Amino acid sequence: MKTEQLQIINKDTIKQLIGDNSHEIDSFYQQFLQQAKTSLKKLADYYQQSAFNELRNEAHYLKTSATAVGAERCSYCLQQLEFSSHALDKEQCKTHLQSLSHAIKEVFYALSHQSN
Amino acid sequence: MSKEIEHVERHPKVILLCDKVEDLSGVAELISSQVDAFRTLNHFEEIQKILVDSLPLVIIIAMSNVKRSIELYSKLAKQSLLDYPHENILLCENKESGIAFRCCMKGIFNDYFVYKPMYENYRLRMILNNALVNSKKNNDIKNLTDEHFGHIDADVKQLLDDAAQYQNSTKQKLHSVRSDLAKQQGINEAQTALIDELREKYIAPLLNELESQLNSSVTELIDKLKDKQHSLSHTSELLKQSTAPNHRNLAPPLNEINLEPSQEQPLQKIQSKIMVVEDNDIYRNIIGQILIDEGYHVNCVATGLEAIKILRKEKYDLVFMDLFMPDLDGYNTTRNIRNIPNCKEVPIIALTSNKNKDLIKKWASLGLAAYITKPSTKLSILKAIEKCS
Repeated sequence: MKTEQLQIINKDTIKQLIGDNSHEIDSFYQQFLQQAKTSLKKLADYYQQSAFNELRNEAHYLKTSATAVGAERCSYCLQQLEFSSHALDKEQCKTHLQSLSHAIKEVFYALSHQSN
Repeated sequence: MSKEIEHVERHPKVILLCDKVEDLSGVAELISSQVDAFRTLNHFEEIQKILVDSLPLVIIIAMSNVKRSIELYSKLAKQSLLDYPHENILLCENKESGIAFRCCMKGIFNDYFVYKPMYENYRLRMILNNALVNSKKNNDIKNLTDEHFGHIDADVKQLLDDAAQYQNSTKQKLHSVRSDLAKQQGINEAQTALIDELREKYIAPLLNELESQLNSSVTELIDKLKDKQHSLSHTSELLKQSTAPNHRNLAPPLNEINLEPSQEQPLQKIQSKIMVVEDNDIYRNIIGQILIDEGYHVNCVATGLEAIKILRKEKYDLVFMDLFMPDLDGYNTTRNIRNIPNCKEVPIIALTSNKNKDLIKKWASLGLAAYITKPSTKLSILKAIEKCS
């Protein structure tokens, strides 16, 4: 599957979870962006240290919130990162980390554009 | 870095990296007398090749100064050539021992050894031996034997042997005392079982009775409030009829009087206590918010250990449990919860993004009421709760 086939942010996902309250939805989006920023830094550190187990756990952690807020591309990259770190494939981990970084930026731009 | 090298083992376990081979001939001889699989390297390309092909267990670096040694080690690390478990030893001149010590304290090198202007033969052997032992793959490395130590007097040798024997016998004694202590723990287990039995037979029923009395009191209070609400409604109607033009000032319509969280909510929801165990704070808050909006009493916790601690003290009607959590996962948390007297029957709904059916089946054997695949929907979550009631 190509990440382009997935949505940057699927708003129906969070609506089906918590309803239409836009204030609440925005709050969860902001929380996700903040969490993604912190998590991405940790993922990069674990990658540098070749700490594959930690890399896998952190990817799984962020995947839960990415899936919940409907960040489909992020969620897909994190799933792939989980697989690569499980297989101890550093080269693939690097590729998926780069895709994840891009996917998070896409979410950020999509949400910024929405608020303007 | 062009001098002819002396040791040409193809797959060395120990490598010595240097730029002036002639300065290290004594050290190299000493190492090779202790380790067969040893090689001295002074070409960068060759170092790269050996690191890739052989993954040597011990890397000894002895460039012309400490700065160059660190630079070489960093360069290799940046090329990801050192991404495997290994021991590293820094060799330096006496004048740089302070810097070498600092390198070791900062964890850059495992140990350092002063080889210029003079070196202590046995100290280097010891450092090398420790490095090989620490590398835990020293099966094909020669152990230190008497021949490595040179001549010593017979009485000193005897003294050393006696000391070694004494140390071994002390270790054995310690081991046997630990085993005895472990056996005695059986008594503690019996005591724990007795306490558990007491708790289950007497304390838990007492607590349950207290809780049930409390619940009855709350129900009674709510009924009284309802009666009051009814009489207010009746009075309001009467007032409306008698003073129609000013009725809003005298008595507001009943639907504006908020006596209960929601008129439509079943009473059971208000009393039900639900615990959410999920390490991801965003998803935990989302689930918590859904349940609070529905009128449940919700307690959200981030770890399995925290959940167990609370469940030992308080009774909950339902638990939402994540599978993958740090420290204690959902499966093991559930197993522990099932050992708490009041929680043997508490319904547990599994939250999982894992599609591993076997894992979920294993978990389900501990008594799962339902399982939800993340992120799920509000409807599915509420249906799962309904299924448990």
